[in-house]
Formats: sequence, structure tokens, C-alpha cells
Amino acid sequence: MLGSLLWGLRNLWTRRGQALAQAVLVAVGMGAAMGVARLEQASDNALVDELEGVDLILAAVGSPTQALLASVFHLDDPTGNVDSAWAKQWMQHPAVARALPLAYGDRVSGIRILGCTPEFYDWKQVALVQGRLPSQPFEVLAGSRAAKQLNLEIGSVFYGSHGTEGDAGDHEHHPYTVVGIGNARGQVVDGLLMTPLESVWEVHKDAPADYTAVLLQTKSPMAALFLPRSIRSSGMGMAVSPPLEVNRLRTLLDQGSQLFSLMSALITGVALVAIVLMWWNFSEERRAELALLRANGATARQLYGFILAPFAGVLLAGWGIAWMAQFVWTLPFWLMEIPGGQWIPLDGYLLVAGLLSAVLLALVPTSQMLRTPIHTALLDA
Amino acid sequence: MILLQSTNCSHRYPGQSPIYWPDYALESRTILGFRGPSGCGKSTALHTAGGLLPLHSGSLELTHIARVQPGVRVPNAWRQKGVGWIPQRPFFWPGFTVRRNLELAAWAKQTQLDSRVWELLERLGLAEYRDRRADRLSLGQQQRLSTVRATVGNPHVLLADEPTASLDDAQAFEVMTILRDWCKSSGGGVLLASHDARTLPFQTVGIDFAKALTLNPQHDAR
Repeated sequence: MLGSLLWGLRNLWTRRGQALAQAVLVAVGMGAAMGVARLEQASDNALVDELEGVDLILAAVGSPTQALLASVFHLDDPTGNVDSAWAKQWMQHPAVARALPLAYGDRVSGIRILGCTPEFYDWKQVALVQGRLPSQPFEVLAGSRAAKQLNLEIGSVFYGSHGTEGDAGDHEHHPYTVVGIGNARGQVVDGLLMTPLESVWEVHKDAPADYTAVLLQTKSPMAALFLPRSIRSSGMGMAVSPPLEVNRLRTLLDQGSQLFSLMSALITGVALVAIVLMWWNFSEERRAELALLRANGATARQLYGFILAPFAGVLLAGWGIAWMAQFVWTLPFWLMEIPGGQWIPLDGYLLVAGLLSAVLLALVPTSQMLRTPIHTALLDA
Repeated sequence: MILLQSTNCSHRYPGQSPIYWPDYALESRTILGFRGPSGCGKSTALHTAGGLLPLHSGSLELTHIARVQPGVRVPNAWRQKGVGWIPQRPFFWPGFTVRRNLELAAWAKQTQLDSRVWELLERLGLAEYRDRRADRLSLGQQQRLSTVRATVGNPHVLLADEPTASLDDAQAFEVMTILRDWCKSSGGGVLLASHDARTLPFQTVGIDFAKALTLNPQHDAR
């Protein structure tokens, strides 16, 4: 069988141009599936990591999803502010183990200044690469990505700008000073500029010293269930349960990725049909040559191996290209921390499915060839 | 020594009446010619001898290999070790070199290329082309190569179907000389189906299929 496969590959080599085109088609189909799976996994991991230790989010009444996106992922505007005196009742509630109050400050070139307490650094396990943690208002710990993007070093001074990007100068009388730079955590925190709560309150002196949100960790899962009701009934804010919201988000994401998976299955299907057609035509074109091999005593098993090899070769090459491609396409996504070169179960399933379909599809032209009478094929030559 | 013996043989194509051909015995070191115009059953007899068509009647014995009868499956050794084919028009695996094409035949026959093949290639002036693509050789070179390929695995019998049909006189003479020399040196025999008069001087024995088919009392009495 090895000899047959070797001859099949030599034959494939004589058609390398066409074979490569088919392998690329297979790669597009399989690569799309691999990509979707990786993105899903990365986003799942990100969700789990970011929500580690957060059982409830205390926020102003509004859309729970928005509150989650804003206070944990910093992807949306907050639903409003919550009164700090009211929030403190809940932060000191006996069922609450840890409370992390947050106050949203301005942005610097689109990067969020986040007012927080020192416990926030512990929770996010931010380690210092340089400098120290902020202890005074207007001292800043820059996340690794934020520091890189804004070219910040220890001692750098910057000003926040209120509202949208670019309209600097609003708060120029309040310079922030970088005192520490965090390590890369592969999380949202990398893209934040963290400062004591007081800095944010100081900048917005006209407004009350409120929190934008409070991340709560409860002492028991039960507490996470009953607290939201009490919080809601007090009428001054809401408690969002991240797991519930994440499930809702995931349903939305899943619809997108299902469509994408369907497309990748379609492309792979088209590629498979193209491969079968090519080798079907091939065994038609090579009728006489194949008949001569049979006249020379080549067995059905030999010929099957001979035909299987190009199928398997094209599918393997396609799979290989798709797999190698992740090193390239994940590059622009490094911000999202999708690790390239990682093996996921789907890769294995696709490999096995590719080889299995080669084994089955190669039967089509083989049986067609074996049905052709040798003597007529030789005479037609 | 008799290499191949055909007795009362016929083949029946689906939906047609059987085609009978005369009995023959192919001796070692001889060329046996199947003569007669196209359509008189030469190719059918040749393909049956090659184990490609089943017998409708009679028996066919390939010495040291097997004896087949109607309903008896031709063993693989018949094709792999017993016979070698020279098709009417030489054709090769496109894209493969001369060497690869010879190796491909050896693979089909589940054997190795031995020194005899390379010697024959050398003698026919093809050794220098062994790394050239076979399908790009001249027609004469291709027909010579086709003959060399038929000898891969050192078969007892070479089956040649109109091997001179597309060749000029010099090329036809060359191919027939190769076949005669091979018979002498290897001890094998050649079954030659041809209506080309240029092959007559090389035939040790000839059977006229056209005549034999009309005068066939044995079969008529069946």
C-alpha cells in the first residue's frame, strides 16, 4: 500500500498546479472553521477570565448588557452613576465578600481613565513592570497596552479629555502623572489607565462623588441570587448578574458564528466536489494508461492506493495550509490575545474528517475505473 | 517448449454470437502471427491470451502459470508474470520520465526492474533519455520504449497488438527486430496480432484468422 500511495503522490505531482488550487480551496473552508472555533474559544476564555470573581455588578438602572459591557469590558458607555452612599450599604452588606467601586474618568486618545481602589489591582493581578502603584490622586498605573499605545513612561504627564476622542484641553488644569506600568495580562485591564477614585471626582468637581459601577463578590452563590432583588427594590440602582448576561451575549455571538460555520462547511463541500470531479475526469483521461496498469496485473488495492494518495494529499495539504494560516491571520488579533499555533480539538476532527472523506471519495473514481473493461480501454488508446 | 496453448477457445461479447479462433501453440523463441483483416477476431484472441477477456469455450494454458477455462478466474500471476503488453499506439504516464514509466510497470507487476531492462534500454539507444519525459520522445523512440516496458518482469509471452501500425518502414523493421532478438535471448515467445505485411518475414508461424474462421469444422460441429 505504501508503494501505491507513493505512486499516487508522484502522479499528484504531475498535476501540482491544479492540486494546489484545490488545496487552497480546502484550506479556505477548513481555515474558516478553525478560525471561528478559535475566536469562540478566545472570547469564551476572555469572558471567563474577565468575570473571574465578579458575582454581581451594581450599576445605574438601564440595560444590564450595557452595564456589563461598560463596567467589565469597557466596551460601552455606562448606564449612569450610582449614589456612593447608597452603594456603600451594599458594599458593606454581610453577604458581600469584596467590593470594587469604579468611577469612569475621561479618555486619552480613546483610552479610558478608570478610577478605582487598590483592591482593583489585586483582583486583576496587575504586577508592576516599572514604578509603583498610585497612592495619591492624579497618579496613574498604566496598563501595558495603554502605555505602549500612548508611549507612556514613568513620569509621563498627560491630560484627560472629556467625552469623545481628540478634543483635548478640557481638563488641562488636572495633569495625570504615570507612576507605574503594569505587566501584560492579556485582558481588558491592559488597555486602561488606572488612578485613585479621587482623581476622577476631583476633575468633575461639579458632579457628586459617585461611583459608575461596583463589582461585587458575594460570600455564597445564594447571595448572588437573592441580593439583586433587594438591590432593585431599594430603587436607586440595579444588580446585574454577569453569567445571565454572558449567556445572552453568547446567543447573539453564536448566531454569527453558526452562519460562518455553515459557510465554511459549504466551501469545504465545494472543494470536495471539485476534487472528486478532477480525479473522476482524470481517470477518464487516463483510461488507457490505467487499463495498461491493470493489464500488467495491478490489483484493485494497488489502484485504490494510487487514486487515494492524491485525494489524501490535497486534503492534507489543505488542512496544513489552514492550520499554518492561523499564525498569519491571528497577527492582527494579537490585541485580542488569540494565541497562534495552538492546537484545538476541532483541528483533529477536521484532519480525521479530511482523511476519512479522502478514503471514501477515492472509492468513486476507483470503482468507475474498475468497471471499465480493460480490453476496450486498451483498444481505444 | 510450448509457452501458451489455446484449444477450442472462443469469447462471447454481450448480446453477440461467440467468436471462435483457431487452436495454436506458442513455442519458446518464436513469433506467432495472428493474420487477417481488422475485425476478424485477432485482438479478441490476443486479449483473451492476456487474461483480459473471459473464455466462452475451450481452454488456455500458460506454462508454469495456470490453465484457464470458462468460469475459471484468471489468476493475477497471469498478468503480472505471464505476459507483457505492447499496445498498438505507444502511450506512457504523462509527466513521468522514461525511468518512472518503467518503474510504474514494475510496480503494477509487483516486481523490480532488473539489469535486463536497463541493458535492453541501452541497446535500443534509449539509455540517455531515461530522465526525459516519456511522452515527449519521438514516435519511434516511444514504440521502442513501449517494447522495453513490456519486458519488465521478464514475462513468458509478449502480446503485441499491431505494433507497427503507426510506424514507417525503418521503425517497423526496428521494432520487429527487437521482438525477434528478445525471443532469442530470453527464451520467451511473442503473440503478434497484425495485418501489416512488413511483419511477415519476422513471424515464425502465422495463422490466418480470416480463413480459419470460415474453415472451422471443429467449432461448426459443436
